Amino acid sequence: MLPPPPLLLLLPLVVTGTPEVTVTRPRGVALSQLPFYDPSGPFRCLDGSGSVAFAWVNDDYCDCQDGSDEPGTPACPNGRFHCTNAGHRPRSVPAAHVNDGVCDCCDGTDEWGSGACENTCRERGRQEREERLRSAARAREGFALRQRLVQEAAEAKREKESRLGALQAARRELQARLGPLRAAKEAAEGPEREARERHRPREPTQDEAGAAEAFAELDGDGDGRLTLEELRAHPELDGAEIEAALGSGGSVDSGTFRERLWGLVRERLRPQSPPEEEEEEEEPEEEEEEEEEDEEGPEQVPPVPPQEGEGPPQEEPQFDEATQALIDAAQRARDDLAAAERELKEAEDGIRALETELGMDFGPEGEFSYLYNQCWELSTSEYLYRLCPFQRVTQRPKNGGAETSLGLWGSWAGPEGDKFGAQKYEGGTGCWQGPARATTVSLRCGAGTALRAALEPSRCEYLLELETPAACRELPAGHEEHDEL
Amino acid sequence: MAAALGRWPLWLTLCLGASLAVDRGNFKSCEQSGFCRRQRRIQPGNSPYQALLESLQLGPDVATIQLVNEVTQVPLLLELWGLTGNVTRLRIQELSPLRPRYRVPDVLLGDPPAERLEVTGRDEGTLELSLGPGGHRLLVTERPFRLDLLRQRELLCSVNARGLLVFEHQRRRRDSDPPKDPPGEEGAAQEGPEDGAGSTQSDKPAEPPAEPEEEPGAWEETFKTHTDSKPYGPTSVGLDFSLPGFEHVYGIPEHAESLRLRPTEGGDPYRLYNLDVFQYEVFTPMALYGSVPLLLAHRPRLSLGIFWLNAAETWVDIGSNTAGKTLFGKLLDYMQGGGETPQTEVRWMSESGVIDVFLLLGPQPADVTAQYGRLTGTQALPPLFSLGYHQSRWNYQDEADVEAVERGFEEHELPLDVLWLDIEHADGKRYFTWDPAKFPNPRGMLERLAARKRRMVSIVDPHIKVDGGYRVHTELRARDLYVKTKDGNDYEGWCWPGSSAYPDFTNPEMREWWANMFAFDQYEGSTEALYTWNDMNEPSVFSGPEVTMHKDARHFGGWEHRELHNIYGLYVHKATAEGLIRRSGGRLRPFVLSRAFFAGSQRYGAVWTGDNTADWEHLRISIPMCLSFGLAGLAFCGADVGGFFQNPGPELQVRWYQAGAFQPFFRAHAHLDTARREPWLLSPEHLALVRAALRRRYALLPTWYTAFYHCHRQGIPVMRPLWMEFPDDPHTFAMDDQYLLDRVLLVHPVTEPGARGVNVYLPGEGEVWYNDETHEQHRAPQTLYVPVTLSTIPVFQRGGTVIPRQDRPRRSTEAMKGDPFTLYVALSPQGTAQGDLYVDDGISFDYATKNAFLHRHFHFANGTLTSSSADPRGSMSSPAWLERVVILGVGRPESALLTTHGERGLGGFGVLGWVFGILGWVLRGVLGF
Repeated sequence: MLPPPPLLLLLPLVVTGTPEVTVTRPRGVALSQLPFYDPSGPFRCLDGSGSVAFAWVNDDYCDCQDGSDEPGTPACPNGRFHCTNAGHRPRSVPAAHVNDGVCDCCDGTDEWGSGACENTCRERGRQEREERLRSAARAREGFALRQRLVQEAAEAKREKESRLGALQAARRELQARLGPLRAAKEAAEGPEREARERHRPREPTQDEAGAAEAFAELDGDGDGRLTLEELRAHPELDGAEIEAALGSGGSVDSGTFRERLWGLVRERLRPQSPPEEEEEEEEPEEEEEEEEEDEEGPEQVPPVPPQEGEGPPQEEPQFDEATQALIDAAQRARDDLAAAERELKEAEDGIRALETELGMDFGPEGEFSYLYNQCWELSTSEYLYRLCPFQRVTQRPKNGGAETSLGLWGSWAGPEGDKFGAQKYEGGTGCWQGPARATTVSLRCGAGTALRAALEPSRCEYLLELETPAACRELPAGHEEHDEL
Repeated sequence: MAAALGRWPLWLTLCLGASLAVDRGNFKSCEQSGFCRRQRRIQPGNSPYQALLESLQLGPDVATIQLVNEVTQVPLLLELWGLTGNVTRLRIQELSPLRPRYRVPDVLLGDPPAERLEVTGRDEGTLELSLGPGGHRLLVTERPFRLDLLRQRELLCSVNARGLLVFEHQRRRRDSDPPKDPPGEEGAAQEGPEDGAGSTQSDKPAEPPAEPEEEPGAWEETFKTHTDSKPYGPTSVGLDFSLPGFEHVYGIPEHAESLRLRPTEGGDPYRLYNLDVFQYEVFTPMALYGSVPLLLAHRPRLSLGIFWLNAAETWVDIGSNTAGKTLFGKLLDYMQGGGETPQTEVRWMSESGVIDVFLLLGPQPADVTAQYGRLTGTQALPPLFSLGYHQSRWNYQDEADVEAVERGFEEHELPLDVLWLDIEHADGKRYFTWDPAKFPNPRGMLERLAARKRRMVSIVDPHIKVDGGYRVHTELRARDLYVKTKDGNDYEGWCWPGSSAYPDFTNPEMREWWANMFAFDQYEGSTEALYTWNDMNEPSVFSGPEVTMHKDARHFGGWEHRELHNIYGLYVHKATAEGLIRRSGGRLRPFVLSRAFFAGSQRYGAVWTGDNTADWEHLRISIPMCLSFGLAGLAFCGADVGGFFQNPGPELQVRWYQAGAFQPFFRAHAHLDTARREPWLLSPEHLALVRAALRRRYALLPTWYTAFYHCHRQGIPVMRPLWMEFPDDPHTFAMDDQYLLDRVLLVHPVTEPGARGVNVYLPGEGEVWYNDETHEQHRAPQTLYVPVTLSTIPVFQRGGTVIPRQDRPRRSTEAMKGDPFTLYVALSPQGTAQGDLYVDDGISFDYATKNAFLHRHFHFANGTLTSSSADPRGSMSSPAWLERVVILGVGRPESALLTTHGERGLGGFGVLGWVFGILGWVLRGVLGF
């Protein structure tokens, strides 16, 4: 069946790619498809579903299921229009965009009927080439930086691994030492205890005098017995501990006071006791270190006893030489054990931190590792966003108010084939009638590292954009010069 | 957009918790609404009113008769009109009111022309009036007063047959201090309180009537923490209507209710009081955002309408003597001959105003809607683009977001006409401004959209931020155009921007000022591509009683808010539409979407069903809701596609797109707290189904536009209940899971999760229907089981019709301009079909002012398709042509001839060839028409 000839349009089109080359082909047909549009015979729909007179190609009436008979008109719902876009890049646009008054092709050929568009390909091409040059320059710069990052990451990794090895060796060694040190401590403390028991000071020490003085002061009615009521007259001594020490009798004489209560009340009555001050000043560096450690983990380091050779503690009574020697020996053993335990803990903390960091996936070449343990901020009109990569994302309103967690490190979350293009942070502060906040951080190539954008595309779902050289890829040689046609 | 309590103060939202349900405690039941409680306590019985027949005065148009309450001796004045086109109007007011009562202005198109009344009979206790040439007669019974309306010997409707006429006459406060009279300023509304008193032909005021027992709440009413000072005391009105033979009544939107109204005995009456109801539920008589006091009744061979023109809080009771009876019970009654005739009772109760009723006497369903259209106006003809797809969300955040969303539509080849911006776009919710950080260059954004043949809508709400640095506020305050409190200060309440004042849109000067704000140099950053959305215009007042304005607030002319609450939103809509017309120099049609509405709102644009929820119930209820809107004149109706609150699953989202594609106003919208749901966020499979639904919508736009033209001209809904076209088929009377688009397509959207099939009722004795996709023919009447997959939208074209389509999938309606048409000719069993096509420029008023349109009529018979002019007034040159004729119901015909009667101004025509193509055997050709 061959119906009557079409009433509309037959459109061989002259397309000028460059002024020198002239190719005649039906409108909207890509050069690669040209062999299928042979005017010498009937046109076979490209899907093979049918065949029509060639004059029916581009006659503004859809005959083929696949729309291939109307590449240059909007007649077919699923047709594609090819534009050459000389000076720029060729495109294939839906044929339904042909002659709709909107410029889809920079050469304007999609609007051949409406005439709505000028050919802007050269200008667009120039702009795009310039932009491509710029972005290629950026990418090259970024890629060079990235290579350095990769190198540094490798070095840092090696360094960390060797540090880890050293720490692990130290741990083994410390663990081996702990047993003997504990035994030595036990061994030294037995004789010390016995010696202390035996020992009686010949005359009241300075401390005993202080106790007597305090007893006299506290014994309000001067009857030689200190009662609960008398104690309660001193609010600074308030406390269950002290009351318990008073014992069931409810009152104590001066001797019992010295034995049982003086140790408890001494500091409260005389808060600026000089030995304490001295002790605090002794090792400031170590103190600071401990505080830092405390922030890191919940473990408490036992108080450090004063070290040997720095004078006996003031509160110690005077002992005879032999006793004192035993006490000193025990103290040394305790100190040695404590020092070893401390070293062990430090080593374990170090191992844990290193293992965590070394276990992180910092990209195929470790290029993202430099982001670890750093944070970046971005200020928008309303909020201050803070990203600590591989840790957390937070948001703080600028006009005051509490910080909100937008999520904790979850995983790499780039699309397939570009896993390292994005990161996911999850389990942030919960939303009203909604889920917990979560953030996607998309990574984009740049010469520096900076947060570039922060959005909340949907309630409680955030999107940050981090520029980093680590996200740069190597460009193929001559990339920026490449241009079709 | 946004229900009042969305993310707003904790002290209000606490009680809502995480569960998703309306908080009924925020809204009054009838028992909590003083006048409803008082009136409902009155049981049917002998009316205390008698008609003083000897007081009859017959004017040229109007008959007046005095009524008197035998208990209180207070006289009323009854006025009766027989209006042209089978409409009877009756109005009852006090003969000598203490103060004038509010008579709703700006709803009626004008004074409806009246027929001459005649007294045709009179005997003791009865008077018979003839109401013009329609053969309608009115019997006025003296004692107790009642009216019976007859057509020939058939009783259509009785008034006060149950004696429920209530008219709480105005009284003076019995305590020492009577309230001040309304201020009564100069230049008040057309029927302001100062010019009403004594304007009726009254005798001297009657003797001071006996005061009835005072009940608590009569002179002051408290609901929750809000006290209504009620300075004028109880002034409510009420009346009952008996509809013999009727079992089906419809209308009185807006309720989340089935199409057919249910009897209200044992529950609350249907309430009409425009309210911002947070997370509304379905199947309740609770009030919602809009009100149209028009009720329709239908039975075989007769349709009636009752239009109760009152803008105060109104409750409607529906009674039925067959309610609760099974079909078998009714049958038994019938066989035993002892059953009563089915009858529906309708009782209207309004807090204030006068009784002003229009009885629309049909007799066909389309006659009733036309009668209503002649009174209040028909649907404004929408600009063509507004029938395309609208993409909205609370909120597209900034210019980059807008750009990205529009690019999404491009990349995924989804058609789109309009992108919407909700409240966050404005600078601190100061409407008419743009957030300078997020929208620094709105004009550029609009121009980019317009370059791709698309448009934008921005929200402009009627609450104004109280802010000395905000021009709108300072000007309105300076011009004294805000609504006042009872004490005369500017009324302020809490809304989105915080403390807000409310422009008094009942004041013409206010509307004038508002309209001028839409001028391009006033609304900075606006262009011709920017249109408007009026939300929160009930008005919504977060801190007010029932989330709205205090009833004792004062409006222009001294009227209390209680008198006119339900029409406030219409005035906002009207002023905005006027503004959009004015900015184009009167040339271009406006597009304004409003959430609140009243009778007449159809003249100003589109409405939607407000803040619905992403669940299957709300998808289902969107059909009866829009059908009810359409019956009440509001043809341009839609529901938020996908559901406003919460997140729809992919199946629900796809089904909602499929349903929305076949509803008049087609907009996806979502709450701030929901996940993003632009179609490409679905799986590729679901996205493809959304694309298919959008393309079906766009292909049918010529049919939609033609349907809107019918509606605009004749007042007939675009989306119609089946019974409008099949009025004698009782099977269709309660159907609201399927409907007709115009008279040509039957649509039965799939609204059940996991559906494998739907039962579609195909009406029409001896008719045929064609599956819109497969073109398979089905005989009618029958209930057809249609197997469905997720891609199926069950749609059927009626045999005997011709529909025009534009099958090229363009990016927007404007990009389709000039595209050729395809006619789908679905043959009747007799081998004939007819239909029409309306075309104009889609945007201007030239169709009305210059007759620049084409209205073609197509007729197919005996193998000849004839195209002729359906309206010789219209002429326009159009680049469009006819590319294809698809004939459903034949194999390959021997021949077909297309003729155009050689009319002037038309393109050539020719004999078309038959080709076997994508659509089966079609006529292929190119010709003008």
